[in-house]
Amino acid sequence: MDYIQTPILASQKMITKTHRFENAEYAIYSTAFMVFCTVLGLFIVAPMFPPFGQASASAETIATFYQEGNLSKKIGLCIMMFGTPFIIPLFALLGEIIRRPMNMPILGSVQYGSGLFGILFTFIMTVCWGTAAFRPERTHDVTQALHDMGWLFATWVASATLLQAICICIAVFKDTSEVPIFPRWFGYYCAWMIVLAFPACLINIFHTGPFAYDGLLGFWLPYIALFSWFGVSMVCVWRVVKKLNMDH
Amino acid sequence: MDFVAAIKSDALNIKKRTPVEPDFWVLIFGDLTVFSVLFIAFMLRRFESAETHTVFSMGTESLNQSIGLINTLVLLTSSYAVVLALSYYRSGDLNKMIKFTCFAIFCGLGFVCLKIFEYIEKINQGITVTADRFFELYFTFTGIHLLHVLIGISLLTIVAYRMSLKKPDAFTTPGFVEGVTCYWHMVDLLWLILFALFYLLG
Repeated sequence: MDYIQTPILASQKMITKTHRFENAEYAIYSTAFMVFCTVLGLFIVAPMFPPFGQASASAETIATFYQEGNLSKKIGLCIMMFGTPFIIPLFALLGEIIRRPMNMPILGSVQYGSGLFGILFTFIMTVCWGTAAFRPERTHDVTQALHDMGWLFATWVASATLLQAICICIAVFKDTSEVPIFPRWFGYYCAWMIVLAFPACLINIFHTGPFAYDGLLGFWLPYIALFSWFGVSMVCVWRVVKKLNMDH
Repeated sequence: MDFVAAIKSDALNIKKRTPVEPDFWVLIFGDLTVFSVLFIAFMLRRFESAETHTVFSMGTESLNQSIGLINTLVLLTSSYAVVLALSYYRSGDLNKMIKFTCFAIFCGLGFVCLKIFEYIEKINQGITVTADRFFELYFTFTGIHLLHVLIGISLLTIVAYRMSLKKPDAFTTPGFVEGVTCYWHMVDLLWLILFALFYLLG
Protein backbone atom coordinates (compact mmCIF):
# COMPACT_ATOMS: atom_id res chain seq x y z
CA MET A 1 0.00 0.00 0.00
CA ASP A 2 1.68 3.13 -1.15
CA TYR A 3 -0.74 5.64 0.00
CA ILE A 4 -2.78 5.61 3.19
CA GLN A 5 -5.21 8.37 3.52
CA THR A 6 -5.70 9.33 7.13
CA PRO A 7 -9.44 9.64 7.70
CA ILE A 8 -9.16 12.44 10.24
CA LEU A 9 -7.22 14.69 7.92
CA ALA A 10 -9.49 13.85 5.03
CA SER A 11 -12.61 14.78 6.98
CA GLN A 12 -10.98 17.94 8.24
CA LYS A 13 -10.14 18.89 4.73
CA MET A 14 -13.72 18.21 3.72
CA ILE A 15 -15.12 20.38 6.48
CA THR A 16 -12.78 23.19 5.50
CA LYS A 17 -13.85 22.85 1.93
CA THR A 18 -17.56 22.85 2.65
CA HIS A 19 -17.30 26.24 4.35
CA ARG A 20 -16.27 27.82 1.10
CA PHE A 21 -19.00 29.22 -1.06
CA GLU A 22 -17.84 29.13 -4.64
CA ASN A 23 -19.52 31.41 -7.15
CA ALA A 24 -21.82 32.79 -4.47
CA GLU A 25 -21.94 36.12 -6.28
CA TYR A 26 -24.45 34.61 -8.70
CA ALA A 27 -26.97 34.40 -5.85
CA ILE A 28 -26.54 38.14 -5.34
CA TYR A 29 -26.87 38.87 -9.07
CA SER A 30 -29.96 36.68 -9.18
CA THR A 31 -31.56 38.62 -6.30
CA ALA A 32 -30.69 41.88 -8.00
CA PHE A 33 -32.43 40.52 -11.12
CA MET A 34 -35.53 39.70 -9.05
CA VAL A 35 -35.62 43.22 -7.58
CA PHE A 36 -35.10 44.64 -11.07
CA CYS A 37 -38.00 42.58 -12.47
CA THR A 38 -40.26 43.60 -9.57
CA VAL A 39 -39.48 47.28 -9.94
CA LEU A 40 -39.74 47.19 -13.73
CA GLY A 41 -42.86 45.00 -13.84
CA LEU A 42 -44.91 46.20 -10.88
CA PHE A 43 -43.81 49.81 -10.52
CA ILE A 44 -43.06 50.97 -14.06
CA VAL A 45 -44.68 48.85 -16.79
CA ALA A 46 -47.86 47.84 -14.95
CA PRO A 47 -48.18 50.41 -12.23
CA MET A 48 -49.88 48.07 -9.73
CA PHE A 49 -47.75 49.60 -6.97
CA PRO A 50 -48.51 51.83 -5.13
CA PRO A 51 -52.26 51.19 -4.75
CA PHE A 52 -53.57 54.71 -4.25
CA GLY A 53 -57.06 54.56 -2.73
CA GLN A 54 -57.90 51.15 -4.20
CA ALA A 55 -58.98 49.47 -0.96
CA SER A 56 -62.03 51.75 -0.72
CA ALA A 57 -62.61 52.16 -4.47
CA SER A 58 -65.77 50.92 -6.19
CA ALA A 59 -65.80 47.86 -8.49
CA GLU A 60 -66.18 50.18 -11.49
CA THR A 61 -63.00 52.09 -10.60
CA ILE A 62 -61.03 48.86 -10.28
CA ALA A 63 -62.43 47.57 -13.58
CA THR A 64 -61.46 50.85 -15.30
CA PHE A 65 -58.02 50.53 -13.74
CA TYR A 66 -57.60 47.20 -15.55
CA GLN A 67 -59.16 48.40 -18.80
CA GLU A 68 -56.85 51.39 -19.14
CA GLY A 69 -53.42 50.30 -20.33
CA ASN A 70 -54.50 46.68 -20.28
CA LEU A 71 -51.64 45.43 -22.43
CA SER A 72 -48.97 47.16 -20.35
CA LYS A 73 -50.48 45.56 -17.22
CA LYS A 74 -50.29 42.13 -18.83
CA ILE A 75 -46.67 42.67 -19.89
CA GLY A 76 -45.68 44.09 -16.50
CA LEU A 77 -47.22 41.13 -14.66
CA CYS A 78 -45.47 38.76 -17.06
CA ILE A 79 -42.12 40.37 -16.18
CA MET A 80 -42.95 40.09 -12.48
CA MET A 81 -43.96 36.44 -12.87
CA PHE A 82 -40.70 35.71 -14.62
CA GLY A 83 -38.56 37.45 -12.00
CA THR A 84 -40.24 36.09 -8.84
CA PRO A 85 -38.29 32.82 -8.33
CA PHE A 86 -34.90 34.46 -8.80
CA ILE A 87 -34.70 35.21 -5.10
CA ILE A 88 -34.46 31.49 -4.28
CA PRO A 89 -30.61 31.46 -4.60
CA LEU A 90 -30.36 34.12 -1.88
CA PHE A 91 -32.58 32.10 0.48
CA ALA A 92 -30.60 28.95 -0.35
CA LEU A 93 -27.31 30.72 0.34
CA LEU A 94 -28.64 32.17 3.61
CA GLY A 95 -29.87 28.70 4.58
CA GLU A 96 -26.51 27.13 3.78
CA ILE A 97 -24.62 29.76 5.78
CA ILE A 98 -26.88 29.10 8.76
CA ARG A 99 -26.60 25.33 8.23
CA ARG A 100 -22.85 24.86 7.74
CA PRO A 101 -20.57 27.53 9.20
CA MET A 102 -23.08 28.50 11.90
CA ASN A 103 -24.04 24.85 12.46
CA MET A 104 -27.81 25.26 12.94
CA PRO A 105 -29.25 22.90 10.31
CA ILE A 106 -32.92 23.03 11.33
CA LEU A 107 -33.02 26.82 11.44
CA GLY A 108 -31.37 26.93 8.03
CA SER A 109 -33.95 24.57 6.56
CA VAL A 110 -36.91 26.38 8.14
CA GLN A 111 -35.55 29.67 6.84
CA TYR A 112 -35.26 28.24 3.33
CA GLY A 113 -38.68 26.58 3.50
CA SER A 114 -40.47 29.68 4.68
CA GLY A 115 -38.68 31.68 1.99
CA LEU A 116 -40.09 29.32 -0.64
CA PHE A 117 -43.51 29.54 1.00
CA GLY A 118 -43.33 33.33 0.69
CA ILE A 119 -42.42 33.18 -3.00
CA LEU A 120 -45.56 31.12 -3.56
CA PHE A 121 -47.64 33.99 -2.12
CA THR A 122 -45.98 36.52 -4.42
CA PHE A 123 -46.49 34.24 -7.40
CA ILE A 124 -50.20 33.73 -6.66
CA MET A 125 -50.54 37.50 -6.25
CA THR A 126 -49.25 37.90 -9.79
CA VAL A 127 -51.60 35.16 -11.01
CA CYS A 128 -54.62 36.89 -9.42
CA TRP A 129 -53.83 40.23 -11.02
CA GLY A 130 -52.95 38.50 -14.27
CA THR A 131 -56.36 36.82 -14.27
CA ALA A 132 -58.02 40.16 -13.55
CA ALA A 133 -56.19 41.73 -16.49
CA PHE A 134 -56.92 38.77 -18.78
CA ARG A 135 -60.59 39.64 -19.46
CA PRO A 136 -61.00 43.30 -18.49
CA GLU A 137 -64.51 43.47 -20.02
CA ARG A 138 -66.05 40.96 -17.58
CA THR A 139 -68.36 41.79 -14.63
CA HIS A 140 -66.76 44.48 -12.50
CA ASP A 141 -67.32 42.62 -9.23
CA VAL A 142 -65.23 39.68 -10.35
CA THR A 143 -62.34 41.93 -11.37
CA GLN A 144 -62.52 43.68 -8.03
CA ALA A 145 -62.56 40.36 -6.15
CA LEU A 146 -59.48 39.16 -8.04
CA HIS A 147 -57.73 42.46 -7.43
CA ASP A 148 -58.47 42.32 -3.68
CA MET A 149 -57.41 38.69 -3.55
CA GLY A 150 -54.11 39.61 -5.17
CA TRP A 151 -53.55 42.26 -2.52
CA LEU A 152 -54.34 39.85 0.30
CA PHE A 153 -51.74 37.44 -1.10
CA ALA A 154 -49.29 40.31 -1.55
CA THR A 155 -49.54 41.46 2.05
CA TRP A 156 -50.17 38.19 3.84
CA VAL A 157 -46.78 37.09 2.61
CA ALA A 158 -45.97 38.48 6.07
CA SER A 159 -46.94 35.07 7.44
CA ALA A 160 -43.92 33.54 5.68
CA THR A 161 -41.61 36.52 6.10
CA LEU A 162 -42.30 36.51 9.82
CA LEU A 163 -41.08 32.94 10.30
CA GLN A 164 -38.12 33.53 8.03
CA ALA A 165 -37.08 36.66 9.91
CA ILE A 166 -37.49 34.84 13.24
CA CYS A 167 -35.18 32.03 12.02
CA ILE A 168 -32.49 34.45 10.88
CA CYS A 169 -32.90 36.40 14.11
CA ILE A 170 -32.41 33.32 16.31
CA ALA A 171 -29.48 32.13 14.20
CA VAL A 172 -27.70 35.49 14.49
CA PHE A 173 -28.27 35.76 18.24
CA LYS A 174 -27.30 32.14 19.01
CA ASP A 175 -24.00 32.61 17.23
CA THR A 176 -21.86 33.54 20.23
CA SER A 177 -18.49 32.77 18.65
CA GLU A 178 -15.61 35.20 18.98
CA VAL A 179 -16.04 36.51 15.45
CA PRO A 180 -19.75 36.11 14.64
CA ILE A 181 -20.61 35.07 11.09
CA PHE A 182 -23.35 37.71 10.67
CA PRO A 183 -23.09 41.17 12.22
CA ARG A 184 -25.43 41.37 15.22
CA TRP A 185 -27.29 44.37 13.88
CA PHE A 186 -28.58 42.13 11.09
CA GLY A 187 -30.39 40.11 13.77
CA TYR A 188 -31.88 43.24 15.30
CA TYR A 189 -32.86 44.44 11.85
CA CYS A 190 -34.76 41.18 11.32
CA ALA A 191 -36.42 41.61 14.73
CA TRP A 192 -37.58 45.03 13.59
CA MET A 193 -38.98 43.42 10.43
CA ILE A 194 -40.99 41.06 12.63
CA VAL A 195 -42.51 44.03 14.47
CA LEU A 196 -43.39 45.68 11.15
CA ALA A 197 -44.90 42.56 9.61
CA PHE A 198 -47.52 42.12 12.34
CA PRO A 199 -49.82 45.10 11.61
CA ALA A 200 -49.83 44.33 7.87
CA CYS A 201 -51.81 41.18 8.68
CA LEU A 202 -54.86 43.31 9.59
CA ILE A 203 -55.56 44.46 6.03
CA ASN A 204 -58.60 42.23 5.66
CA ILE A 205 -60.48 44.24 8.32
CA PHE A 206 -60.10 47.77 6.94
CA HIS A 207 -61.17 49.51 3.75
CA THR A 208 -59.79 52.91 4.74
CA GLY A 209 -57.10 54.26 7.00
CA PRO A 210 -53.51 53.24 7.66
CA PHE A 211 -54.33 49.53 7.97
CA ALA A 212 -56.05 49.18 4.60
CA TYR A 213 -53.94 47.62 1.86
CA ASP A 214 -53.23 51.03 0.40
CA GLY A 215 -52.48 52.57 3.77
CA LEU A 216 -49.38 53.41 5.76
CA LEU A 217 -49.21 50.17 7.75
CA GLY A 218 -50.80 47.93 5.14
CA PHE A 219 -48.56 48.99 2.28
CA TRP A 220 -45.89 51.64 2.78
CA LEU A 221 -44.05 50.54 5.92
CA PRO A 222 -44.03 46.77 5.21
CA TYR A 223 -42.95 47.23 1.60
CA ILE A 224 -40.25 49.75 2.46
CA ALA A 225 -39.04 47.28 5.11
CA LEU A 226 -39.21 44.34 2.68
CA PHE A 227 -37.31 46.03 -0.13
CA SER A 228 -34.71 47.46 2.24
CA TRP A 229 -34.38 43.92 3.65
CA PHE A 230 -33.52 42.60 0.20
CA GLY A 231 -30.74 45.19 -0.07
CA VAL A 232 -29.46 44.72 3.47
CA SER A 233 -29.43 40.93 3.31
CA MET A 234 -27.72 40.99 -0.09
CA VAL A 235 -24.92 43.13 1.33
CA CYS A 236 -24.68 41.06 4.54
CA VAL A 237 -24.62 37.70 2.74
CA TRP A 238 -22.06 39.01 0.27
CA ARG A 239 -19.76 40.14 3.07
CA VAL A 240 -20.16 36.86 4.96
CA VAL A 241 -19.33 34.82 1.87
CA LYS A 242 -16.27 36.96 1.15
CA LYS A 243 -15.09 36.56 4.76
CA LEU A 244 -15.63 32.78 4.75
CA ASN A 245 -13.85 32.37 1.42
CA MET A 246 -10.90 34.37 2.71
CA ASP A 247 -10.68 32.38 5.97
CA HIS A 248 -10.31 29.05 4.23
CA MET B 1 -20.51 33.05 44.40
CA ASP B 2 -18.87 32.60 41.03
CA PHE B 3 -22.08 33.50 39.26
CA VAL B 4 -22.53 36.71 41.26
CA ALA B 5 -18.87 37.63 40.93
CA ALA B 6 -18.99 37.07 37.20
CA ILE B 7 -22.01 39.35 36.85
CA LYS B 8 -20.43 42.01 39.03
CA SER B 9 -17.15 42.06 37.17
CA ASP B 10 -19.03 42.15 33.89
CA ALA B 11 -21.77 44.59 34.77
CA LEU B 12 -19.70 47.07 36.73
CA ASN B 13 -17.62 47.65 33.68
CA ILE B 14 -20.17 50.15 32.41
CA LYS B 15 -18.04 53.21 31.98
CA LYS B 16 -18.35 54.82 28.61
CA ARG B 17 -20.08 52.07 26.73
CA THR B 18 -23.35 51.78 24.91
CA PRO B 19 -25.95 49.85 26.93
CA VAL B 20 -26.42 46.28 25.67
CA GLU B 21 -24.41 46.68 22.46
CA PRO B 22 -24.44 49.31 19.73
CA ASP B 23 -26.19 46.99 17.26
CA PHE B 24 -29.16 46.58 19.62
CA TRP B 25 -30.21 50.18 19.05
CA VAL B 26 -31.09 49.36 15.44
CA LEU B 27 -34.16 47.59 16.86
CA ILE B 28 -35.11 50.34 19.33
CA PHE B 29 -34.67 53.20 16.87
CA GLY B 30 -36.31 51.20 14.10
CA ASP B 31 -39.33 50.62 16.31
CA LEU B 32 -39.42 54.25 17.45
CA THR B 33 -39.24 55.37 13.81
CA VAL B 34 -42.25 53.23 12.93
CA PHE B 35 -44.24 54.61 15.85
CA SER B 36 -43.21 58.18 14.97
CA VAL B 37 -44.59 57.64 11.47
CA LEU B 38 -47.79 56.31 13.06
CA PHE B 39 -48.09 59.35 15.33
CA ILE B 40 -47.58 61.70 12.38
CA ALA B 41 -50.25 59.77 10.45
CA PHE B 42 -52.58 60.11 13.45
CA MET B 43 -52.11 63.88 13.58
CA LEU B 44 -52.53 64.25 9.82
CA ARG B 45 -55.81 62.33 9.94
CA ARG B 46 -57.01 64.27 12.92
CA PHE B 47 -56.52 67.64 11.27
CA GLU B 48 -57.59 66.49 7.81
CA SER B 49 -60.90 68.36 7.96
CA ALA B 50 -63.30 69.91 10.46
CA GLU B 51 -65.37 66.72 10.40
CA THR B 52 -62.49 64.40 11.31
CA HIS B 53 -61.50 66.86 14.03
CA THR B 54 -64.97 66.52 15.57
CA VAL B 55 -64.89 62.72 15.28
CA PHE B 56 -61.51 62.57 17.02
CA SER B 57 -62.56 64.99 19.78
CA MET B 58 -65.74 63.00 20.44
CA GLY B 59 -63.72 59.79 20.49
CA THR B 60 -61.31 61.24 23.03
CA GLU B 61 -64.20 62.29 25.26
CA SER B 62 -65.79 58.86 25.15
CA LEU B 63 -62.61 57.15 26.40
CA ASN B 64 -62.24 56.28 30.07
CA GLN B 65 -59.62 58.83 31.10
CA SER B 66 -59.15 57.50 34.62
CA ILE B 67 -58.23 54.02 33.38
CA GLY B 68 -55.82 55.64 30.94
CA LEU B 69 -54.20 57.59 33.75
CA ILE B 70 -53.98 54.52 36.00
CA ASN B 71 -52.40 52.60 33.13
CA THR B 72 -49.83 55.36 32.66
CA LEU B 73 -48.96 55.31 36.36
CA VAL B 74 -48.80 51.51 36.37
CA LEU B 75 -46.34 51.48 33.46
CA LEU B 76 -44.24 54.27 34.97
CA THR B 77 -44.06 52.33 38.24
CA SER B 78 -43.01 49.19 36.42
CA SER B 79 -40.35 51.16 34.56
CA TYR B 80 -39.01 52.35 37.90
CA ALA B 81 -39.09 48.76 39.13
CA VAL B 82 -36.94 47.53 36.24
CA VAL B 83 -34.47 50.37 36.87
CA LEU B 84 -34.16 49.23 40.50
CA ALA B 85 -33.91 45.62 39.35
CA LEU B 86 -31.06 46.52 37.01
CA SER B 87 -29.19 48.43 39.71
CA TYR B 88 -29.60 45.47 42.11
CA TYR B 89 -28.41 43.19 39.33
CA ARG B 90 -25.31 45.32 38.90
CA SER B 91 -24.60 45.34 42.62
CA GLY B 92 -25.08 41.57 42.72
CA ASP B 93 -28.17 41.50 44.98
CA LEU B 94 -30.00 38.95 42.85
CA ASN B 95 -32.88 38.20 45.24
CA LYS B 96 -33.96 41.83 45.27
CA MET B 97 -33.46 41.98 41.54
CA ILE B 98 -35.84 39.05 41.03
CA LYS B 99 -38.35 40.65 43.40
CA PHE B 100 -38.41 43.93 41.50
CA THR B 101 -38.55 42.17 38.14
CA CYS B 102 -41.58 40.23 39.40
CA PHE B 103 -43.12 43.51 40.55
CA ALA B 104 -42.58 44.94 37.05
CA ILE B 105 -44.21 41.83 35.53
CA PHE B 106 -47.12 42.25 37.95
CA CYS B 107 -47.54 45.89 36.84
CA GLY B 108 -47.35 44.84 33.18
CA LEU B 109 -50.06 42.24 33.73
CA GLY B 110 -52.15 44.90 35.47
CA PHE B 111 -51.77 47.09 32.41
CA VAL B 112 -52.91 44.25 30.16
CA CYS B 113 -55.96 43.53 32.38
CA LEU B 114 -57.01 47.18 32.42
CA LYS B 115 -56.57 47.45 28.67
CA ILE B 116 -58.68 44.34 28.06
CA PHE B 117 -61.32 45.73 30.47
CA GLU B 118 -61.32 48.94 28.43
CA TYR B 119 -61.67 47.05 25.16
CA ILE B 120 -64.55 44.95 26.51
CA GLU B 121 -66.26 48.09 27.82
CA LYS B 122 -66.09 49.67 24.37
CA ILE B 123 -67.18 46.49 22.57
CA ASN B 124 -70.17 46.15 24.92
CA GLN B 125 -71.18 49.69 23.94
CA GLY B 126 -71.18 48.50 20.33
CA ILE B 127 -67.99 50.37 19.48
CA THR B 128 -65.59 48.12 17.61
CA VAL B 129 -62.56 48.59 15.45
CA THR B 130 -64.60 49.65 12.42
CA ALA B 131 -66.87 52.09 14.31
CA ASP B 132 -65.28 55.33 13.08
CA ARG B 133 -61.94 56.80 12.10
CA PHE B 134 -60.93 57.49 15.70
CA PHE B 135 -61.66 54.00 17.03
CA GLU B 136 -60.02 52.42 14.01
CA LEU B 137 -56.75 54.04 15.09
CA TYR B 138 -57.46 53.62 18.81
CA PHE B 139 -57.88 49.85 18.65
CA THR B 140 -55.05 49.22 16.21
CA PHE B 141 -52.42 51.53 17.72
CA THR B 142 -53.11 50.45 21.29
CA GLY B 143 -53.32 46.85 20.03
CA ILE B 144 -49.84 47.06 18.52
CA HIS B 145 -48.64 48.64 21.76
CA LEU B 146 -50.32 45.86 23.75
CA LEU B 147 -48.41 43.34 21.63
CA HIS B 148 -45.19 45.13 22.62
CA VAL B 149 -46.25 44.97 26.28
CA LEU B 150 -46.89 41.22 26.00
CA ILE B 151 -43.48 40.66 24.38
CA GLY B 152 -41.91 42.75 27.17
CA ILE B 153 -43.69 40.74 29.89
CA SER B 154 -42.50 37.48 28.33
CA LEU B 155 -38.91 38.76 28.22
CA LEU B 156 -39.07 39.94 31.84
CA THR B 157 -40.50 36.55 32.86
CA ILE B 158 -37.63 34.77 31.12
CA VAL B 159 -35.12 37.00 32.97
CA ALA B 160 -36.79 36.45 36.35
CA TYR B 161 -37.07 32.69 35.85
CA ARG B 162 -33.51 32.20 34.61
CA MET B 163 -32.19 34.43 37.41
CA SER B 164 -34.02 32.35 40.01
CA LEU B 165 -32.22 29.23 38.71
CA LYS B 166 -28.93 30.95 39.67
CA LYS B 167 -27.10 29.40 36.75
CA PRO B 168 -25.25 31.54 34.22
CA ASP B 169 -26.67 31.31 30.72
CA ALA B 170 -27.47 33.53 27.75
CA PHE B 171 -30.53 35.03 29.52
CA THR B 172 -28.67 36.19 32.61
CA THR B 173 -25.91 38.10 30.84
CA PRO B 174 -25.74 41.88 31.38
CA GLY B 175 -26.41 42.33 27.67
CA PHE B 176 -29.74 40.50 27.76
CA VAL B 177 -30.91 42.04 31.05
CA GLU B 178 -30.06 45.55 29.87
CA GLY B 179 -31.70 44.86 26.53
CA VAL B 180 -34.95 43.80 28.20
CA THR B 181 -34.80 46.88 30.45
CA CYS B 182 -34.29 49.21 27.49
CA TYR B 183 -37.12 47.51 25.63
CA TRP B 184 -39.44 47.95 28.61
CA HIS B 185 -38.54 51.64 28.79
CA MET B 186 -39.35 51.97 25.10
CA VAL B 187 -42.78 50.38 25.68
CA ASP B 188 -43.35 52.85 28.52
CA LEU B 189 -42.26 55.81 26.38
CA LEU B 190 -44.58 54.77 23.56
CA TRP B 191 -47.51 54.52 25.96
CA LEU B 192 -46.84 58.04 27.26
CA ILE B 193 -47.22 59.39 23.72
CA LEU B 194 -50.23 57.17 22.97
CA PHE B 195 -51.88 58.34 26.20
CA ALA B 196 -51.35 61.98 25.25
CA LEU B 197 -52.61 61.44 21.69
CA PHE B 198 -55.72 59.39 22.44
CA TYR B 199 -56.83 60.44 25.91
CA LEU B 200 -55.70 64.03 26.42
CA LEU B 201 -55.80 65.73 23.03
CA GLY B 202 -59.30 67.17 23.28
